[in-house]
Amino acid sequence: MYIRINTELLSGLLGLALAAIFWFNIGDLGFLSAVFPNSVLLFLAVVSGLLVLVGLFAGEPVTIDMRGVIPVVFGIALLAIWWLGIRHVGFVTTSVPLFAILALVLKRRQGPLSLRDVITAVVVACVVVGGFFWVFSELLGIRPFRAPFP
Amino acid sequence: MDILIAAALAVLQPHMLIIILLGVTAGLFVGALPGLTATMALALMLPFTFTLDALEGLVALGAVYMGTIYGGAFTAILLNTPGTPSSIATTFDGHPMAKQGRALEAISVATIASVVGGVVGVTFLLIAAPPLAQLALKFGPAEMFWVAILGLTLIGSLATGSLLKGLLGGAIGLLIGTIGISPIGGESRFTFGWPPLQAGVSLIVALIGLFVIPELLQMIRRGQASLEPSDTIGNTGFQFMSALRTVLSKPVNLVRSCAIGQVIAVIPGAGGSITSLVAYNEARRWSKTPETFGKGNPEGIVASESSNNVMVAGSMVPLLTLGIPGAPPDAIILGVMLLHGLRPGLDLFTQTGVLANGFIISMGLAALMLAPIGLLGGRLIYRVIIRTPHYFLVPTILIVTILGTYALRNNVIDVAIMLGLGVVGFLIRGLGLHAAPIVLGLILGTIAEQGYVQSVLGGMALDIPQLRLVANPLSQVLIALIVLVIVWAAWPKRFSRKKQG
Repeated sequence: MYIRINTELLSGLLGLALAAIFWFNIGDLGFLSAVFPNSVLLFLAVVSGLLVLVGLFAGEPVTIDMRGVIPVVFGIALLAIWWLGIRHVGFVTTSVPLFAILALVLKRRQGPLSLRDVITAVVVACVVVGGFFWVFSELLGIRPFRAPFP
Repeated sequence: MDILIAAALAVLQPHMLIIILLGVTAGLFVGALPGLTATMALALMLPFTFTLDALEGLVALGAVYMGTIYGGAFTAILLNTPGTPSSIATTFDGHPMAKQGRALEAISVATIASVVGGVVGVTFLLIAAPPLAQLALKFGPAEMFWVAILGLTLIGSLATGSLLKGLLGGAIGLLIGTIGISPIGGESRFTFGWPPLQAGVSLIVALIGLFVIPELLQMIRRGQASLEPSDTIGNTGFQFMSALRTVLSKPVNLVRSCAIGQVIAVIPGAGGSITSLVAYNEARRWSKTPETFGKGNPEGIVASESSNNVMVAGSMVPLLTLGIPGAPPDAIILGVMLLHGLRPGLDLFTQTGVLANGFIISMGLAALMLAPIGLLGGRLIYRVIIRTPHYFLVPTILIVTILGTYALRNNVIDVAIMLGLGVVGFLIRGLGLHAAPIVLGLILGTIAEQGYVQSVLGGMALDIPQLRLVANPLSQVLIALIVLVIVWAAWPKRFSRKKQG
């Protein structure tokens, strides 16, 4: 599946939206703290405005290849779930499923999955996640993510 | 001279040589895997340097950097897929040579060209950095502001293909850099009511998020299981002496490519892909047999590989003298320097001369180690790369990235910011907005802000305080350069449109 978008126009609108968000959140700052961000916001607005004008009058739509977007959306959703779970469960207990599911999603694109693929993914996930957990916590002295479980 | 000898002795210790050996090998593997860039390699290796002292950490990252840029040539030659963007031009002649059964000859040529390029870059850095750091003392706040703007303008025009989009990216980076406590006013800015943002967005967190996560999401999108093996590797073995003769038989090509690499390397944010493409183009333009380029001419490989390896050390010139990274991987090295309390500039060479020069010399040693590691381990590296399943590679890199980000400040919020910026970076790629200007904006934000505010404060007696920014002759030269870059970036389009019309 392909879509056509005017990237200049959309980039300009994104820049203007960002400038507006930051502008309305600048608060009551003193001169020394505000002078630089104000200048950057002005510059951002000017560049974004120019991009909008270029997009409106000379922009040519660009074709974007949307193939493979569903696994990406799935991957991002997986990361969000992992993020929600990590503080309540633990690094190893959340990251092993994250690793295994992500590996299987990628492997699935090459063809149907077998039970062996699933077992392999889980075993590799346990080895890799457990291995890095050990390296960080024991060798580097960094206990990854304080949580009830490892 | 005493400092240089002390620095050389410091990096010639056995444990230092082992660090360099491991760093080059690790970099070679990462660089040879398509999609994994030098920035990603350095980001992945970063947490493993935390237990090392400042010199050891910098030496390790320098070696990884050198190995990664060279490693990109392997898959460029064998699979027509550049391992890193800086090896794009290596595919033009490297892969045709592989198809002719001359893959190992091509790798040998690439190896020697990389070694020469690496050593040339290090030599230039060693000679030029201290006097340039001295020269940098002439740069006051206004000049530093304009240097930052020049860097943003250059990357906006060179690295993205669209000046306006490049400037937009740079402005977004500058804006992200203003989040947190103001460095001069001391007030809290743009925290959106979320206290963790008071500490600001860490440069390395942003760098990892914007460079690593979009690549991983891109790998998920492509869904490639593994690389297709090449049956044309050839059985003639590595040909060190004949490759050496090939490289040295065209000294002008070698010198020109190294010079191009060095000149482009000092431009902040220009990067290795531009360096190698320009060097390749010039090699073809000046060749007596330009028609052989693209069909397996070793001169093309020499141009590409020597220039991109010059860039590794060459891009450190603005980093070590002005604190402005010449290429995105340098930003990680800057981060490590700041973590160890080291500030770029003249003090780096006077007060911590052994460390600064030791780091530079270690990159020379890393360049020399490319030859034995690349030539002896080449076949093994090739087999490992071919057999590495991408469906395990992507989650493995993700886990290391997450742990590495967390390890920076033992802060779970950093991981959220890294992942969030990564997803945003992936989405805006579709709009033609690249990570490089955003990251450079973030890096240069503090330099630009300090220069800007101090200059404006100095000009409070004027009707328009901002006029203080343009008062000095050096500032005017820098402004002229910025205008020149903008005109140069805009000119070819108008010219070609006029011609088409």
